[in-house]
Amino acid sequence: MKGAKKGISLLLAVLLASLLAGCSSGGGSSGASPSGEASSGKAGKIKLTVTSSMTDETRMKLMDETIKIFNKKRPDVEIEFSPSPWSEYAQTLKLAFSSNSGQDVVYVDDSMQQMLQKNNYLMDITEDVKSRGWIDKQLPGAVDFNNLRTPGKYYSVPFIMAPVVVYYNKDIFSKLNLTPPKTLDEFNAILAKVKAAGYVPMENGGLQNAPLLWSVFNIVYGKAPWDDVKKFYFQQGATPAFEQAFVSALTQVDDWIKKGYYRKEDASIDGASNPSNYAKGQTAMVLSGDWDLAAYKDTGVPTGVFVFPQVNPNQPHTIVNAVDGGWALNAKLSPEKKQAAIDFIDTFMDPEVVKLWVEGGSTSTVKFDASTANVSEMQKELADQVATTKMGFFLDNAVPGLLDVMIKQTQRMQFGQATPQEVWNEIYNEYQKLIAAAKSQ
Amino acid sequence: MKQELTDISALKRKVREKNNPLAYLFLLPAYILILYFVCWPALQTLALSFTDWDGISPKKFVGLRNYIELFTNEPMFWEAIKHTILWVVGGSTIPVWGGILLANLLVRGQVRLAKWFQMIYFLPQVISAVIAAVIWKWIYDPLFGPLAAILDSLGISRPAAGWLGNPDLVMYALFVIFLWGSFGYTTMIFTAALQSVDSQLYDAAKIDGCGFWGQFRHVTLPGLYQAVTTVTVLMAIGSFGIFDLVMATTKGGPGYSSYVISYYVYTQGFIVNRVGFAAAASIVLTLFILIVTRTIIYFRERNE
Repeated sequence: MKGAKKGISLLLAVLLASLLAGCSSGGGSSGASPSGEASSGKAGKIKLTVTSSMTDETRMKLMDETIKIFNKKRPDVEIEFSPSPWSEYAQTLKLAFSSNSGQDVVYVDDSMQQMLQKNNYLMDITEDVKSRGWIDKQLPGAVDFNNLRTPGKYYSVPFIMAPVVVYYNKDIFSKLNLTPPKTLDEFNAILAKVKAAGYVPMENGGLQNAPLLWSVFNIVYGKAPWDDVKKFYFQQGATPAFEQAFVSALTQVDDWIKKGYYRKEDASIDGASNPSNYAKGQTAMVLSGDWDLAAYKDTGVPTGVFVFPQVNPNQPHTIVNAVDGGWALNAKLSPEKKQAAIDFIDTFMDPEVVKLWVEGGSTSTVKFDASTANVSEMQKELADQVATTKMGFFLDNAVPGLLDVMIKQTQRMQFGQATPQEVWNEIYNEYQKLIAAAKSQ
Repeated sequence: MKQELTDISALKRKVREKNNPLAYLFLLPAYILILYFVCWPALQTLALSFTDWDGISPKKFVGLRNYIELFTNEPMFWEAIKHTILWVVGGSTIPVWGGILLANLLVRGQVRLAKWFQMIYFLPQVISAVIAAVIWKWIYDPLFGPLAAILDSLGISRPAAGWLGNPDLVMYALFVIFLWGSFGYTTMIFTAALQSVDSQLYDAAKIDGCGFWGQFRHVTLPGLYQAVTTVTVLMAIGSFGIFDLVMATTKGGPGYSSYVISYYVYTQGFIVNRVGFAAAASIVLTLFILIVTRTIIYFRERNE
């Protein structure tokens, strides 16, 4: 009996030890095959794994079409495209790369690029960016945008941007004899007039406060020197001028809240329902990105587009408009796979592909003759308006976690729990803590 | 003498069963699963709590720094603790007492179609918490939601900022969702427990002159004692871990009005990328749960 007991115990111990040892080595080299290995697809083709956060139906179809065009040029390459939703994308990338199974080509935004590049998971593609002439093929500053944190070195190349514009109800504007504003004073006058006429001046969605925050950023761009904005975004702190601009922007937005320019129920409204609330035809304006153009077009409300008005005519007209993301390569790619991956990125600068994406509703960073594309009036209007402006950061992306802080602090302001100055103090305090946490890692 | 022999043979049988290798073999799969999926991650979390790690860079050992920072430099952690404690107190009492009362009505009140009522009460349990949150988000919607429409049609005034966006009401609004989801569970357990209470005890109580309240106090409650403490412990643990509801509705807002520890841990670990720090916060959360559940069990054992 004793022998049997010992035997069972030994078996149990061996089983456990082997299970734990086997599984804990998953993060090592015995995990998934590294990208450097010449993994072959069907019939000896080069296989490239590609991922992005573009999971909506429209963009999935556009990706399929793009891959087909790429395969006409490179029939020897098989693309395995597996996107993940935005909400879990950063975590998926982290897990994939830290377990040695990172995809060959990844679509990254500024902070994701920083996270992967800092840990040497991304390939320096500076030479290819220059030799392929990608900088000249794109709008000024577009290729630099995601790479500003690594001066002189390129790790990703974009192809679309994400401008935030103002969608407006043409019927309301026409009834009240209004025209799209050119200055902040004109914008304020429109808000007052619309409110007085009994309409809802602006949608916001207070559970997330995205349009409210974008308004703050737009105003900051007109009030703070650009170098100060860059300092804040690149985690070098806030200058007095930047602080003043931010507090002033918050004060402006606080004034809008107090004057009832957002719905009285705004705090309980989900931003995702902004298009459906706008569709009731009682809302004059809403700030949103080009990614929502189709949603506002489909509301049935005659809708126009203008960019957030210029705050200071002496400064370039900058609006919230970052590159949507950029294609980056896994640092461990073999020369053969790297060549295929570079060709894949190059496809996104092919006029046929650019046209495809533009017609699909995206705003391209690649220089392109828009007259050749079959797009809606609203889309043309958006492109024309955005073309007159300079790209500005989504400031909440300066450091991971800052968006959550900004949302919560501005919500406090909405309820009169904090003044604009107190909101700024709290945001800046948390910003410094978040930077310290990010830099210590 | 005969009795002693029976006792000895029973004891021998018990010892034999305890030493039966076959029994251990049957336990082995569950044992391995628990060790691998519960104990091993718990140990890893403990180890992570002493590191500075963003989930991707190499881990840096920082000793107790995360714990010190958590208690000295994180006002939001205390805010989250405050809300969590309130939630645990409410979550481990109101649904429990509500469940006892409902079960008592269903079993002792001779309610017609009692089984149907049980099923209806239990239905919310079948729905995932996230889907329930989405449904309730719609119910609470101040523009299109049925709650606003009903109140408006009855001429009853409602808060201008709605419910989920109102810092004074948000916790109550979330708690209503929690109650809706948990009532059926507690009612079902207490109904089952109540059915096993000997009906003769009620007859005896009636003869002794006990009314409905007297029977409830002297027969029902003692009969449910084990079930009450077990359900209280389970509800307390569930309340500590309340995450899906907050995540799918308010994300801790407006401001920090519905910030709870589990959401705080999620934010630190997956939004701010402070995985080591989040591990420390989750260890503290685990300790809280252990203390609370151990206290409840201590009182149960003492009263036994």
